[in-house]
Amino acid sequence: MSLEHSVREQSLIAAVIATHAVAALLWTGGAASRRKGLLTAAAWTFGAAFALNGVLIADRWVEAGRAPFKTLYETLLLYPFCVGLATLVLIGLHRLRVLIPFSSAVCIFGLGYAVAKPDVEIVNLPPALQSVWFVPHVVTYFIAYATLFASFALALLALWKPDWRSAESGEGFEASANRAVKFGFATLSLGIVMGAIWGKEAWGDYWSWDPKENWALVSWLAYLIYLHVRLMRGWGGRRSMAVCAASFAAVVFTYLGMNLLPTAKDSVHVYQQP
Amino acid sequence: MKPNILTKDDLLARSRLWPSFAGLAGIVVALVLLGHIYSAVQGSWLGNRWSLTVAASALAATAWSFRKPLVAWLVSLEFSVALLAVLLLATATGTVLLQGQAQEAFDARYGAAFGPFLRLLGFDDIFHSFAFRGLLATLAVSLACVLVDKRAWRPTEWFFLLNHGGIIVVIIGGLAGMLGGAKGFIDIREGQSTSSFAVLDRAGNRTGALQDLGFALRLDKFEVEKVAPEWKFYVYEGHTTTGKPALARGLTEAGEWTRAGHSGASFRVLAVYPDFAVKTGLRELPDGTGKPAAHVKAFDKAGNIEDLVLVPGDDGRSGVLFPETKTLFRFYWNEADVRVRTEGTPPGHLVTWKLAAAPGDGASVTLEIGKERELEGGIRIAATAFYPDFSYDGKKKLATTRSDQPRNPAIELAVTYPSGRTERRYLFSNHRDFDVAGTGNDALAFAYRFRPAEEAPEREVALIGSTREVLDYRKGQLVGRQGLPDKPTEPVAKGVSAMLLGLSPSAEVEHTPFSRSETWKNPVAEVEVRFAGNTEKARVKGGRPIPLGAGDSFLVFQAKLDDIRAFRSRVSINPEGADVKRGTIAVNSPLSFGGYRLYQSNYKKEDPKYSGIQVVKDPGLWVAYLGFGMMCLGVPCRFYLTPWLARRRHIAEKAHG
Repeated sequence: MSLEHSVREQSLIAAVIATHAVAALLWTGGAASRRKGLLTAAAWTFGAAFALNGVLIADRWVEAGRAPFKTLYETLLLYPFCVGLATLVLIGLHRLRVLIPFSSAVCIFGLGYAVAKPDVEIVNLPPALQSVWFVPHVVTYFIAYATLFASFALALLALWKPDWRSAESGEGFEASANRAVKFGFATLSLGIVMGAIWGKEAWGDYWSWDPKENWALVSWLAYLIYLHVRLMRGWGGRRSMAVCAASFAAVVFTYLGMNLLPTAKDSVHVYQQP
Repeated sequence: MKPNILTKDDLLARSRLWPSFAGLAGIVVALVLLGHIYSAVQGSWLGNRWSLTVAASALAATAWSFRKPLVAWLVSLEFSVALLAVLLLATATGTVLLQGQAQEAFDARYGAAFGPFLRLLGFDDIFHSFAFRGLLATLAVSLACVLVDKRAWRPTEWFFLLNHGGIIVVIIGGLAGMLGGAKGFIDIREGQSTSSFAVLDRAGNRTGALQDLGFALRLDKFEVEKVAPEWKFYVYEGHTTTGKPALARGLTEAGEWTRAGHSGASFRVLAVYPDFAVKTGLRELPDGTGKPAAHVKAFDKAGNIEDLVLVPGDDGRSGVLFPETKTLFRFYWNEADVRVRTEGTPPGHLVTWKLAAAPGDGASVTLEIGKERELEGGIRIAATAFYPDFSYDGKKKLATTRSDQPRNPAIELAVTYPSGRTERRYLFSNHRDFDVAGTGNDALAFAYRFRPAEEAPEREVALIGSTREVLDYRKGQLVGRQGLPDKPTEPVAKGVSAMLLGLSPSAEVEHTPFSRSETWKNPVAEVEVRFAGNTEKARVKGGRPIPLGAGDSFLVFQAKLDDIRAFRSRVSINPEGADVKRGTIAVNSPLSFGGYRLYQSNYKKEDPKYSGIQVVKDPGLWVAYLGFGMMCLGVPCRFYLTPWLARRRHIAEKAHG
């Protein structure tokens, strides 16, 4: 990694964090003063942060000569990008600007965590990761994680304000959370299947009960439970939203908690402590 | 809220959630018991195929007699949720508890009482347990009942059929692979052939059995492609320099101040020399504060060139002896100081010392191994050990010597301060830069030069600084006298391979580091280390750790040589036959032949001709892939197409009144 790139990357991270902070402040100001112009400015600023995040990833991609999704540090650059993408899509489709402070907060946390982690080094891809499945598998998963984060934020909002309805669509937070879960679950399923096919090509097993695989299954089962629970009598509304919000804990643990497991040391998926 | 996939009427809950959990707990207990009974009767007449068929039929008949309430329960949402929750808990538990460990290791981890209890429940290998497989079978049966109950073959339910049926198909594919498949391993070296493989069980352990492949496989060549080594700075923590480093920095990014893990220290790299060497020169000090010195470039017959700075000798060992001609070349400022040497000298250990903060090249003393010398200020130094060819045994944590030849001469220097405190360090003759002992203004710096034993010189060429003359002595007698050449590139004396580059009555010696080449022959980095408010410069030699912070962390400048880009086994199938087939097995690119897939699975660092190949036969592979495809298609179709089609139907019905 060149010094120029290192300095540029740190500057870009600082710029993305700052832009997200401005977006969150603009939204807060807009929500407090009920000024639509500020909310629109917040959305555009959020979009700028997303674009800068894209530049950050592209720059590292060029520097590394490969997709920068190998280390925890690299995925901590990718995750805020995917959260940004999911949020912008939801803003575009359903006017869910209310997600901006949540998404900006998680982006700032992710990028701040990346800066604090010492595995900034660009490392070589081991043979097992040199596969056509590497990019689609990882990107699909992170889009799923990002969308499920949106569902988590919306579920919290639904628990807080169950009767709120959008003036434009008439839709409440619960319906929006459910939409986000559906998309997140579909992409999560696709990610699992791509990982299974890749595992078969690389190691001869499409499922090897690896801790990360198992927690991917736990996340998938958790959202499958949510999708069924909300159809049960008496389980709609707050109860299903609580299940939805709780399910995101499985996603967080799958992403960041693997090193806590005694079974993780031999995992091919776990981000090793640098 | 409005459910937008299924109506509540379609999925009328026929039982409550908590009784479903209770029922499932009963199923789990029954499965655990059945697993133990099955293990107990295996090998006896009770465990043969007929007995098991009778038992399964009895179970099925019992279930059939309760089919109505049973199916109603199996297709209920509450049952689905309870079953998924139990599977979730079992899967999560399988990651929290150690899996597939030996009984002793498992019990040692979880205690003599709790360990056996967990094993009794099958928690030591959850995913291969009878109960877990039973739960997966229960899921498949439940899904099949749901599909029948919902009459999912109707066109309006095709997407429901796809995503729910897909899970059944995946389970069937897995079952087919388990029952009709095979898994094994081939250990093979270049040039060897085999037509069988060692059979592995489902957990990947060798069973000891061999199975015929049905064809012969020969390893023609095994290739390991490595990534070019890259020199980086690594910080290791916890009194070790092995394992995973706490921090890694590339060459150029290390130019910034970097926190060295948890050591509390920071470092930055000032310069990196791939092929480190020190250029010696003179810097004139016109104010007379320096010492007389001559800068000479000497040559040996092999063509090596060495820069030498000669100062008037005070220990009888100054100068340089040319062994081929037994000519001693020395420097004196005045002719009156000449003491012609005619005797040989024993090996010597020349230690130069100075205050670390002071400029200049310090004072020199010659040490004998084991004998102490006192310096100014009551400080005593002693060379306590000599290593002609220094090496460090990392396992024993001992300095040692590889040979008796002075290839990498080093001494262990003990520095004893007036307070009685003693510090020990290694000094290396091949790295003659100063090594700092202690901290603060009183810190001392030491350098070491090994002088091998010298034969008695037959000729001595004395360079006289004050008169700019060269005196030629043979066997102690002056036989010639001539002036110094005007040009520094001309030899200073006939028959002596040396040129004078500089001469000064008052100069100090300058050591300027440089890189002889761009190849990584002798990598050295100059770094600055900041700790507890102090900033110090240090020279880090490739592969030699320097302590950081309080001393429990280390900075190492090294290139990791084991990053592998690719493994490839070039193989021939049926190499002796007429229809020999050649192929390559690589990671992510298995070779298919004869119903088997061959995977590049292992290699041995110590045996570059060895390749480990995994063999897999999986008749259920394409069934499982079909199930995956059904799920991937069914889920989005169910979420997005079903409501869209329902809306269209609704609009069409409205339009037709």
